[in-house]
Amino acid sequence: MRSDRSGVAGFFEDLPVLMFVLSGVVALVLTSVFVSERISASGLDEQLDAVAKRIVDSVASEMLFSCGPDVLPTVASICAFDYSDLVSQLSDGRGFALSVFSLHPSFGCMLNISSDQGSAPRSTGYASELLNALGDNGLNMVLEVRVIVW
Amino acid sequence: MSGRHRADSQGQLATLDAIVFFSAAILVSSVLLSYSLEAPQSAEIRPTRDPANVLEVFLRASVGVDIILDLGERAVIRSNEQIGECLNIELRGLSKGLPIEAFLPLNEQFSDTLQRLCGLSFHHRLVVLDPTSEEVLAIGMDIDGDARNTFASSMDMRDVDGTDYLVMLVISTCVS
Repeated sequence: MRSDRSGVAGFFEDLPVLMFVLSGVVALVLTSVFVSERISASGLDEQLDAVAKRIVDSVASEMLFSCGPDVLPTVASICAFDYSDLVSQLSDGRGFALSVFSLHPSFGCMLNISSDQGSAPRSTGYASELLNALGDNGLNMVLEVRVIVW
Repeated sequence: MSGRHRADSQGQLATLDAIVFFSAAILVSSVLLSYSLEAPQSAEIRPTRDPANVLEVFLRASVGVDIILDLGERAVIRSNEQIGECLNIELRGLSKGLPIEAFLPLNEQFSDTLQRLCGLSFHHRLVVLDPTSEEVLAIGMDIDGDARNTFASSMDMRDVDGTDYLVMLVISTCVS
């Protein structure tokens, strides 16, 4: 009889102890999961930024040499080239969007290419580069090549 | 009675230990969370466009609009003139004693172009230094923000007279 009473009393007395211990463990586990998720997302962002930079460098150099070395490329020659294959190769199967904007003397979108992957991106990488190109009106324009990779 | 008394004492000790453990866990979690959340805020805010890239394309770009200047006599800057060449004309005029106000329309066009190239979220300042490192021209607003959010690039530019100038572009975030 005494033994039973002690057992029941001990169990209920230990409930607050159990609650504090479990709460502490849960707090530690949740924090660890959150922090490790953030670190891995940040690492993935950096990796995707590097891929985007590689694509932008390749596309920009392809544009700059579209009219031959030491010759300023024209907007027409830049827009006439198909960059899909080049970007697809460099993106290693990842989703991508490539845009070319005119920033000066007027603002406007010159080119837009994107992959077919429609899934929501978990993380993205971004890179851009400016270059000069000769416009139809004889003005030396400033174009921006933007790449987003996911 | 003695058995129950001993059990109560042990229970209280265990609860105290559990509270200490819980407090320590909360403390460790808080430290980890605050470090994890504060890290991006303390990091530098880089401009989306590289200042060296911006300066290079800026100097090679056309002015874009015809500009009439009063330099004692009427001077017309054509829209297809390169900005680098126009900067040379301005520096030559300034070295001959022309007032900076004479080039105001040209400098405003330079500033508008730089604002477009740097992005609306960034302040810019273009500074030209002569061979004695004296500032001969400054376009854009004064930048005295956080050094972590300020980025610069420079290029050498030779005048037609053979004088070497240093053109410097400073970009800073609008966040003070």
